[in-house]
Amino acid sequence: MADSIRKPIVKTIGLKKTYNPGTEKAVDVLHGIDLEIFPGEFVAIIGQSGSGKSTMLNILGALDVPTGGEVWIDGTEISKLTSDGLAKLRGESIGFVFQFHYLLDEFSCLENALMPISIRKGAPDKADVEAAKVILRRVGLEDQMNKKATQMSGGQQQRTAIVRALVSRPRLVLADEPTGNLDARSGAEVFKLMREIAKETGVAFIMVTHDDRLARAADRVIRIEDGLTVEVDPESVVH
Amino acid sequence: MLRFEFKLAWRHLVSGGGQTLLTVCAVAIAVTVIIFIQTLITGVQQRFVGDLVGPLSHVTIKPPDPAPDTLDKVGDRSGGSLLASDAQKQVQQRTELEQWQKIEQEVASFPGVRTVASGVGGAGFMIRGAKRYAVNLTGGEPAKVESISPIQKDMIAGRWLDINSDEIVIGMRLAEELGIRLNDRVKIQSNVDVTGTYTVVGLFETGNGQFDMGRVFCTLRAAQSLFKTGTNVLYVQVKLEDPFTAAEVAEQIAAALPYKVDSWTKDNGFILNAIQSQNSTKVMICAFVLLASAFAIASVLIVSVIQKSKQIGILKAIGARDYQILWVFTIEGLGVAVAGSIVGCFWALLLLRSLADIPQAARFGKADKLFNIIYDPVIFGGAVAATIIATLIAAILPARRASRLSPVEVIRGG
Repeated sequence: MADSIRKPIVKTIGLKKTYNPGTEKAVDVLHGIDLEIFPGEFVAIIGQSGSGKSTMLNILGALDVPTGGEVWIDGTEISKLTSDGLAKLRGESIGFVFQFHYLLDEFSCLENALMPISIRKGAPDKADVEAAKVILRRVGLEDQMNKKATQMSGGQQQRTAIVRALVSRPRLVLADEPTGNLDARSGAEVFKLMREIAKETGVAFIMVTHDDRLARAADRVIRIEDGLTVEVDPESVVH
Repeated sequence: MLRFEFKLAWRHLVSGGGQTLLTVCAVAIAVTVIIFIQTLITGVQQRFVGDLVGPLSHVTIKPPDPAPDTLDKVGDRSGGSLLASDAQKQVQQRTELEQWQKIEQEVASFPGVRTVASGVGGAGFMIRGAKRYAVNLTGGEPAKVESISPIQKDMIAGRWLDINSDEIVIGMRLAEELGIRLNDRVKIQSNVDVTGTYTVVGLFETGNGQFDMGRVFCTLRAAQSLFKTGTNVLYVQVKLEDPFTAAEVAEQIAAALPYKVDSWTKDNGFILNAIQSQNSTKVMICAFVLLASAFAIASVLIVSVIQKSKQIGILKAIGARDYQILWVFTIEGLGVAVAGSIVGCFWALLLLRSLADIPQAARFGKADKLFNIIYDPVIFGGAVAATIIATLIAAILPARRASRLSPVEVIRGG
């Protein structure tokens, strides 16, 4: 246990990202980032618009690959992975919560929550369904399980998206402005839930946010400035 | 296997509602049109071929042509002044087929041969008082002749299959022309100047004017004496399972046996041409219908992929592989194709059944149906298979497009 705590779930060494490399339109976004994130940590990434927060989140989420340096996620270096290799890693090790919930309208709350398992196994088994129901109850959606995504409120949909991110028991959950599309009350509820689940499950959470109040509540705050990261004391984040 | 892909494709189709229905209808219309056109043209062709080729021998075996003289012989004969006509083949001499029973046996063993019948026939005159009428005599064992040129179904009076050697069967129009009634006696003179007297014991009416006006059927014995062939015959006729293989079978027989072998297609090229051009038209219409249907499906699926691009992005973000997304949209295309095919077959059946009962006022003087409708499973199966293949090809482009969507771009697009 002590070993796994010391071993980072995410590690970047000189991470670089350039869009349109080798062309006139080349844009250097990340200039060589060294970062380590450990299981159970709740990390907020903050920064100006266009600073590269989302680019970094996409790379840490194996949605994109770096143009330089190394990125290790759950023991796998992602630079050389194919599209399918990245998809496999995402399906098995990473959960996502996006600003827009992106639930599938054609499926119920429970089916949406179980989507990563359906993708991986074809269909969830009984144990998967029970496990998903436990998390759905945990986030207060016990009455909504059979409703279609379109029949739920924004907060309920985002909570479903959180369950979907957790249902495969990932070691890392990435959240891109998870409360950005919710009203203040729902946003606060969703954030509180994520925070509690991180503590309960030992999953590492990396959250990109513009909201300084949320950043202040994180274990660690990383600010991206000029393509590099600066570790910031959460207490010092100005509200 | 592919449970997730099938489930997602099914949900897409169900949630698509009207859009799905329209696509299914597009496929159904394509299947209906293809089955309809194929059935109609095949029916017309069968009737056409039946009417024109029905009474013909598919392959006819005759004695070989005498070899033409070589040029040097011709040159010798004309004393050095060559004429073009000298080099032509000599007029065929009357030669008969001996041992025709053996030829019949050998020919019957060729693949695709249905029946074989030896016979004696040729031109002659029917004489009734002062009237002489040019006729074409066909002599053979009635049962065998019937297997080559069936007239039993067209008999309107008297009998045919059990006639004796002093009895003949003639066309109704010839009988009318010469004022002949059943059991009247008539004289027949062959082109080798043999005359005989026969009793008309049967009258037929096929509807084909030329045939009903000029054809006379008699026994082999009667024909052998009229044409002075002794116990020999003049030809062996062959009926095949498929008349369109006549040229090939004729070639095979010609290669194996030392006789002159002709197929019906040799002298009736126009029929083949007409059928070929009909077939080309049929194929063209079906191809265009398929193309139109494929474009409709491709465009609907492309719109669907655009509509679902965010969903595809999120599915890929949470672990869906490229091939899984490819399958989802391919299965959607397949679902539309299968549903459309079933509906299309049903519509085609309804359409064909509604046409099948329309009567034709008159066809060769006989009442018949306007359309010769044959419910051929091969046509139905072929239309379904062609449509499914076209739909799948149409689905692949949008499916590939979907599978290649980058989750990052889609998600960042909001």
